[in-house]
Amino acid sequence: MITKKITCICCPLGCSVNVIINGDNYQVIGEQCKRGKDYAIQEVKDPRRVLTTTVKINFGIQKMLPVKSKNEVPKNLLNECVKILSKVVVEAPIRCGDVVYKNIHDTRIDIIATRDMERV
Amino acid sequence: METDVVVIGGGPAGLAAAAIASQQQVDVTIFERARELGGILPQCIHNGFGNFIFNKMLTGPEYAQHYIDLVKKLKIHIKTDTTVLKITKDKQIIATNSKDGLFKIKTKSIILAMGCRERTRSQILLPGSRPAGIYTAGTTQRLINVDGIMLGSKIVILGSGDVGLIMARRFILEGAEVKGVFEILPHPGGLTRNIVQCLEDFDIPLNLCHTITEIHGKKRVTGVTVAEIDRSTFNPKKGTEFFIPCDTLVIAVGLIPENELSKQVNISMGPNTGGPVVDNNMQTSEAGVFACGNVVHVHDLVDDVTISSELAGKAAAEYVKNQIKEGALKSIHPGKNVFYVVPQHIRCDLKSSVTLYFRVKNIMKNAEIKLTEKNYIVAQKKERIVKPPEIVKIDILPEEANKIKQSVEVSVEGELF
Repeated sequence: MITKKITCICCPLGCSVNVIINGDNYQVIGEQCKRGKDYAIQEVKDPRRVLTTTVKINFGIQKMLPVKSKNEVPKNLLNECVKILSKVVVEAPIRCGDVVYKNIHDTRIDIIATRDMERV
Repeated sequence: METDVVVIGGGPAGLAAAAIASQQQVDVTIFERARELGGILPQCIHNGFGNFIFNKMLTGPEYAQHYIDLVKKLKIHIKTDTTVLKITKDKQIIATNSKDGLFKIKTKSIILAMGCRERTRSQILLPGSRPAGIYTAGTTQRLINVDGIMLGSKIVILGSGDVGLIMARRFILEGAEVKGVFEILPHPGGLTRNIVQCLEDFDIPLNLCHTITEIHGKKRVTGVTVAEIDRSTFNPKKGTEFFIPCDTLVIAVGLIPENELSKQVNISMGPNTGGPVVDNNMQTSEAGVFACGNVVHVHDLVDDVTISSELAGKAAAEYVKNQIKEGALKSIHPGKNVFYVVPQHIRCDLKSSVTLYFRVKNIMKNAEIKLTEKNYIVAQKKERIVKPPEIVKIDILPEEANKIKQSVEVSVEGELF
């Protein structure tokens, strides 16, 4: 049995929630709403985040292109994904939503551009 | 040169105001001093924007892209790389850029949307030498995210405002070590979600009631002295000082509305907002001059900037067409536990409800918010928690607003947290 402390971010209240993990059983203590309960269990089972970073772009009006993961990636892979993307170089023009890297770290999640970038 | 509405600033406020004004069939011109439209948003590459307006979590560049596309579709004149130097009472704008030189444009209405800028080291009287490696948080954000320049490897962050928290995560992802975030107040300056997702996710220590008392280093920062703060005097406690080696100090100690232009036409300024006093149409004390976004008060969420800027854009177009309704001016004052409230005036004879935005002084649980004129309750609501970094809203129904005789007061009562 392990207890994990989670700060809920579903609303400005920021409840401090404890999740007691007993095998496959999750008991949530201290939450004040259904959203908080679901969030806490998700955070303990499989915490995920949208990855946002930049990649190099050639011939663009700026040197860096902002990108994000189309869906949330597992939190523990964020650093590895950023390392992969630090080696990626794309070329302008780019449209917002264009895929700049497919299936990052075998997550089946694509990395997409988050703005248009005209060619100089 | 002549136009109907001049919008000064092409950030989220200016873009939303310009788009709405243009949709009311008036001639709109945007002046933007940077090379690109979007203001601060293109450098805010993280997500969390647009939750209220688009019902999804967009990144800053995506949020900006939506409004840039909208403005470009409309027949709006866009002058980037152009700095407005002067505005006059008779609504002449003097601006300059390297193509047209110095030029003048006559307009019927002005929308002030210049945003805000960062508080600097000298404004918080931070002592020590002046080596390289000291940046404001927004500057690090611009240099790293837009220009692709990495700034250091051992980082200390002073202040826990949102940009500082977001940059803490960014420095970690870019391979630096963040030694800690130091906040002089007993509570964090940024949103809870940023404390969790930027600091706790990466095990970055947040030290409340601490500040930097000295910066060390000659050519480059070599470290900082940190001390605990006495909660009543805000002076460092003797004997609590310690040294942290670092090569970069990031200063994230708040934002100030940028109102040099507004002051040229003697617009009334709000005492605690740092921006112009406005009415429910976002009109300033000067008829035909409107203000919106962070130039009025510093917002937490861009969604709120867009909403209030659309009010300004719509009203500016109505002013040009002589359609603006000039009801009697009633004032709204901050009362108990309220630091400021915007708008500071409402014009009665309203057809739709008005949202008041206010900031509280202390963290309070089970807060009762009341809008009163003497003993009469104009509006009230309850919030489970209110915090100084998170803006609180209350709506006034038009039939209630029209009953206000002279002035109302917003007050908050609750359990201190």
